[in-house]
Amino acid sequence: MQGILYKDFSVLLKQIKPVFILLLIAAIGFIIYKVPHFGVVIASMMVGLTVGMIPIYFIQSDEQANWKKYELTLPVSKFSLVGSKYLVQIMGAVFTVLFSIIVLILEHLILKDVNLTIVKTSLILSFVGPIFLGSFIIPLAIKFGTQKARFMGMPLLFPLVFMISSFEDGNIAINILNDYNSFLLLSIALSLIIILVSYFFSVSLFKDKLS
Amino acid sequence: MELAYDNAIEVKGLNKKYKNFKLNNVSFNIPKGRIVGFIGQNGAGKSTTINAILNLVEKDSGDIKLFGMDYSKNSMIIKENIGVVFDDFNFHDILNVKELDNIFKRLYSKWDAILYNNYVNSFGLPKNQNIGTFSKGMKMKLGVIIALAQKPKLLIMDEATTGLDVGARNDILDLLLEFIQDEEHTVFFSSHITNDLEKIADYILIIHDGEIIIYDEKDKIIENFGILKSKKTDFEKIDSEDIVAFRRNEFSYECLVSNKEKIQNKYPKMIVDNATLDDILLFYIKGEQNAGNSL
Repeated sequence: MQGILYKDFSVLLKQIKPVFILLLIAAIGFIIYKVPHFGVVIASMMVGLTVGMIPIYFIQSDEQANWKKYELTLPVSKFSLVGSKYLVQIMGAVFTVLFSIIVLILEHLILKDVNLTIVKTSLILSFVGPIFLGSFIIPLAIKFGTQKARFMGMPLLFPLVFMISSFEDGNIAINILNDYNSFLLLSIALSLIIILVSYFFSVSLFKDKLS
Repeated sequence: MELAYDNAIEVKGLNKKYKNFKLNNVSFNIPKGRIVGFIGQNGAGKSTTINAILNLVEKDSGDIKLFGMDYSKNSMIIKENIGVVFDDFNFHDILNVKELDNIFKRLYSKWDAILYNNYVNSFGLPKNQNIGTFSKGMKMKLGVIIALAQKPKLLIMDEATTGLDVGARNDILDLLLEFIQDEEHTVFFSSHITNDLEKIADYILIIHDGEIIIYDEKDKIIENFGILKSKKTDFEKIDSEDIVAFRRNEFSYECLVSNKEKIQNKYPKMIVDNATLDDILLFYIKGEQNAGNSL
């Protein structure tokens, strides 16, 4: 499994650096010019969406490199082959949290102001977003291939885009944030359940595909 | 774990049916310490057989053992001891030789980084350059080097030399010969470039339309098979049991025979030439069989 993860990260780091630099610049732009405070949440969700789509990128790059057939000859179990995609997803979510922390620090430096509610919301959403998206995308990509999964995953973006827009529209955001503890706890619990169910479902799809 | 086995691969009654193709009761053993060449035209069933051996496709029926063990029950031990090279290069173009070293040392417990780097240096493969910039020959050499650095007991190659120039093919064949010096190592090598197999193989396995048609020592095949050339009028005199397959030309017939010496003695006025592996394959693919000796 370590070798598979090392491969995934080597491939990822070489490709994705410029994307995150652009997102960081966009996040700073949000903070300064558009929506202070909620801009951090929006930036975190943007990164979350990008990270959430990473499994598609991995599976597609494996397909292009003819790696998918080869990896089945490696001394790695099918559980690990599928599990590595989820581990990367979780690590991506952790990365998104770190990204949010950087943006929060930048916000503090630029605006000299910190809203604790926004900090918590931003950090938790940046973890939940990629987990939620990845958990749907991975089984779709295994079952239907990356091209179809990309289109089939589009509807998943609507609830996430709704969440972003709700933060732009102060009233909805404030309504959510008034009861934010239960909202955030529910989100975390749900995302953990979803990722577990998704993992076992993906393993089963993976085995079916081989037969 | 020390493996005790006589045959690296045992295939018994393997059947696999697709829409337009089927492997039909394929059976053979690959003995330890030998290079076995696996020949057949495109679509004859070479890759399907190899995929079944590697458990990449589910067989309909039959029994496959590697190192005397069932794949399903011992997959990790088996995978640790098999090096695989497919015809399409299997690594991401944006990785480099050093990164592949780092990946594979985390995948294989017996990974030999020194051997890997020695081979990389001896073939002059750039270590920090993306492998996407390599030629096909360089990529395939790297594929074989990676398989060898895993320190496998069995190397399985599926059309790994296809599309390579003579120089690159010879380099790979040299690597295989070096690998086989230790009689513990086995190579199962599919190719439709029969010249390569004639150079290095101990045994030849020929598959046609999903069925094994010949499996014997290479030297015996080359020694025994021949091409009997006859005029149209003489063809009728040849016993049909002596002919494996035949081809009609405008003025003559060419017959593939499986016992050159006996046939030469039986038909002293006819010419019996040596047959290459290509000839044998061609007779099975293009020739006529069991038609009786009618003009």
